[in-house]
Amino acid sequence: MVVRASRHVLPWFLLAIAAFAVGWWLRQQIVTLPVATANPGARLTSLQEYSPKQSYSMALTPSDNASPVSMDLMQLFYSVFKYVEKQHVDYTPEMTKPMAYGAVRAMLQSLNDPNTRFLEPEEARLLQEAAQGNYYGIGAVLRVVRNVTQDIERRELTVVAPLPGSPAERAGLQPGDVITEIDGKWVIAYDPFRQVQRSGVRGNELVKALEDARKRVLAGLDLRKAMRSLTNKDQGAMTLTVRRGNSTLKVKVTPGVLNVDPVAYRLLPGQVGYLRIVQFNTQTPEKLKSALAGLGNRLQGLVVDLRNNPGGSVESASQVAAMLAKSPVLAVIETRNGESRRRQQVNISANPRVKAPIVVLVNRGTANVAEVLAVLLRDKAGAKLVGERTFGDGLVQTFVPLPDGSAFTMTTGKFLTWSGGDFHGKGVYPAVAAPTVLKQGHDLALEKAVSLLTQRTTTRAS
Amino acid sequence: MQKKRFSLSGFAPLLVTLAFLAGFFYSDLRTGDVRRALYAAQTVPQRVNLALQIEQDAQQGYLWPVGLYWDVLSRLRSHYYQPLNEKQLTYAAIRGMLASLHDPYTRFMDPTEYRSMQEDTRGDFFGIGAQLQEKEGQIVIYRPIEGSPADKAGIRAGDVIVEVDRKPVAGMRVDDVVKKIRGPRGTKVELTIRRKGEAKLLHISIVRDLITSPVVYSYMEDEKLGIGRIRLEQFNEKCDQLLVQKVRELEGKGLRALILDLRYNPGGLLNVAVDVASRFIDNGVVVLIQEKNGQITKLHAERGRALKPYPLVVLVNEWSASASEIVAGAIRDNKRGVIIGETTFGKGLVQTIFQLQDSSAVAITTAKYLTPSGYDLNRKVDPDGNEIRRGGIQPDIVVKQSEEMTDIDDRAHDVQLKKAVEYLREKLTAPKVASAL
Repeated sequence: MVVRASRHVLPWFLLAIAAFAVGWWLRQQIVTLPVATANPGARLTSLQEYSPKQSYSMALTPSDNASPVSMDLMQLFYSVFKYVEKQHVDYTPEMTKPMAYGAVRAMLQSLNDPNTRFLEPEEARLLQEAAQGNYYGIGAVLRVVRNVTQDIERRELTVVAPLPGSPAERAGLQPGDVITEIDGKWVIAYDPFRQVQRSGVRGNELVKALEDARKRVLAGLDLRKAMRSLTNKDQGAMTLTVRRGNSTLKVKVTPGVLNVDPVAYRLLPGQVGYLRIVQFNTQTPEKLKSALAGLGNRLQGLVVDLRNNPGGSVESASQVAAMLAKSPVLAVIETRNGESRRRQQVNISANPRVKAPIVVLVNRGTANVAEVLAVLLRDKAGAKLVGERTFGDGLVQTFVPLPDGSAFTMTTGKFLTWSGGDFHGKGVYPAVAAPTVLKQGHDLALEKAVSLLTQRTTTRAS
Repeated sequence: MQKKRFSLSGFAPLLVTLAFLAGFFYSDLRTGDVRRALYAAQTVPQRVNLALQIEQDAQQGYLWPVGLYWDVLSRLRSHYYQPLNEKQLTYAAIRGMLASLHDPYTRFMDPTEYRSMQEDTRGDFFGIGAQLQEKEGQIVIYRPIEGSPADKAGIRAGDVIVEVDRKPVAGMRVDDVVKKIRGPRGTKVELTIRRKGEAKLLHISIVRDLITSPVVYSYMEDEKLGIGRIRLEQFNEKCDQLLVQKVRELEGKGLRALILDLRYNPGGLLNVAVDVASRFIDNGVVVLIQEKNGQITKLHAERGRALKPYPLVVLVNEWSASASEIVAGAIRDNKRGVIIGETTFGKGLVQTIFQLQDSSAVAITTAKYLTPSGYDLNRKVDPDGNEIRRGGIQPDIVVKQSEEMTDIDDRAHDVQLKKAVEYLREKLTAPKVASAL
């Protein structure tokens, strides 16, 4: 009886297990099916898989319950594409690529966030090269800074930092300079029609103003074109019109190719080490290690120069921080979690190699993760900040490569300091103010830093 | 024992089904998200269908736009710093995709825009009776409908709308301006107008009313010689019948030569254009419709409908579009008449509107018109907005309109009309060399 029963039970039991498996499998397909098939050229790689090597500012976002794009929206987009493909009189298969780029560019633009934008393969390549220290064009880290004055939104092309030895530095560009014109062409920074509307002019003045606005837009360069000509190595000499504070000046720059060494060091008199970190790229930690070895372990003081350091990748900055400060945390990253916010710490395994007192030089060009590091060194390594207020850019930007070599950058979070302080839009103030522009060949900020360190050592000695 | 075996085989399929469901919901129930589980279950057929469809497409080639859209949106969803409105993002993506085609007539309409468009074509809206158009970033009156409130208030074609109810419209889209102008019947709207040749802006108040369909007008320009003029405002259903009726009236007054005035005529129905052309062309091709893949359909004039072969002049200007251009092109290519005026608008495209799942819609250019000789009517513009092809029908005799002409009935200043009359006069009075011999 038992034998006979089991003979009938077993197949059913196996079938039940199979059914369970099929059900489970089907459920998994529902999340991934459209991804896998809609995009056969590439597996949908998670952000984590992309970021460590390829991001220049990584988001440490854990795998959250990433729900798929609504099927209805997918269907909507798909239908429109199919209608065009099947029905449009001028459709050719070569148009699919521009259509794809057009779609994604407009989608990202609609977020109205200057740091979230689509990059065509060439633009993506330039950005990745820049993260490796290879700059083309004028050799300055640029950022679109958005501000709203009198209800007019402006997006200004701003120099974060000219890189050492770059055409931009030779031309005298400074952090915070706003590039308003390239070869006399207006870099379109706001909607002039809106400005006319707001100005309240009426009658014939309005007519004239509107016509002027139209002419300005037609003759102007949009931000993308402006960026493109500033990062083009083959562009001949060009004249930039720059707004610096309240004055306007013209600067002549000859673009070229620049390879930036991320770390430079030298020993100053009195056993004071000088260490300049230009940016946080993949080579920075290695170079820093050898720089610290080169400076020796008998330092009386160390100047860490973070001026014009635009930031870089979090991993790189973490490793740098580990060598300089005794802290388990580099920064806090605030990300979105559904409708709320989530905070996560960026942990580091601290192994400081510097025992000497530290002074950190900062200026308007010290931005992003460099600002985070400056605060960390101030709070956790007893460093004094000397120089100017920092840039105040706390946005975490993630670079997301797409299967065909294009990419996009998006804002994925906000950096807070190790203790949770928000410096975005505010910057970090130094303890000792010093101008960071060279005066008759004198680097006053560096001289100030050295004098602080030697004073300290003398007081300690006495 | 017998009984037990029976009950087992009865319950076993149920067990298997339960096992399937358990497997299906396992991952969701483990995370406790019942809502997602239900959503997943509900959309199985839809998902599987779409996935199969996409799979099929993917085999024929890489589904670029869909794949990239999906990639980017899913990344934004999980990692973007601010909350997202995915529907608006999708609409933006669709608009961007269509914009890359550089065809201004292929466009996406969200549910609100689509509804407003449907109201337009149904005709039961209250407006001022003027069609608007965007031209070089400005909102321009395309044509006031004859007898409409706009017409009565003195609005003219070419007027630039600067403000609506004293609010500037610069930078707005035509659809949005139209929305602002529309309103309940009997209410007033004030337009601020800039007009060529006027130093000051004009403020014109117009009462909104029901807009009725336009008609056909006839004029006797030269009673002695019998030069008549028929003006078509647009190509609607009644057009052809009215045309014949008006020509009969003119014939009663001794018609010997005809001017077909298509100025400011924005077009209309294709079959009406063919009907109208058939009144002038007895035997011949009216228009070629080029579909996707270059397939061409010839539309012939309908035999036996032609009027008497009067000497014919067609008057056109830059606001003559679509069906007007078809008729003018047909008359020119069939050597049935002379075209006088200015180069026409340059729009010979057919749009088909496809309604989408969420009551939004997409208008897609599905075909284009070529004149019988194969000339493509369409004006083309490159991505930067520069004209790369003018298109349109070039007149045989180019006559620029006088700046002094105030409206379409200002015959005293209508130099195009004068030229047409003059041309026909010469033709009617010229000694007939052939017969004299």
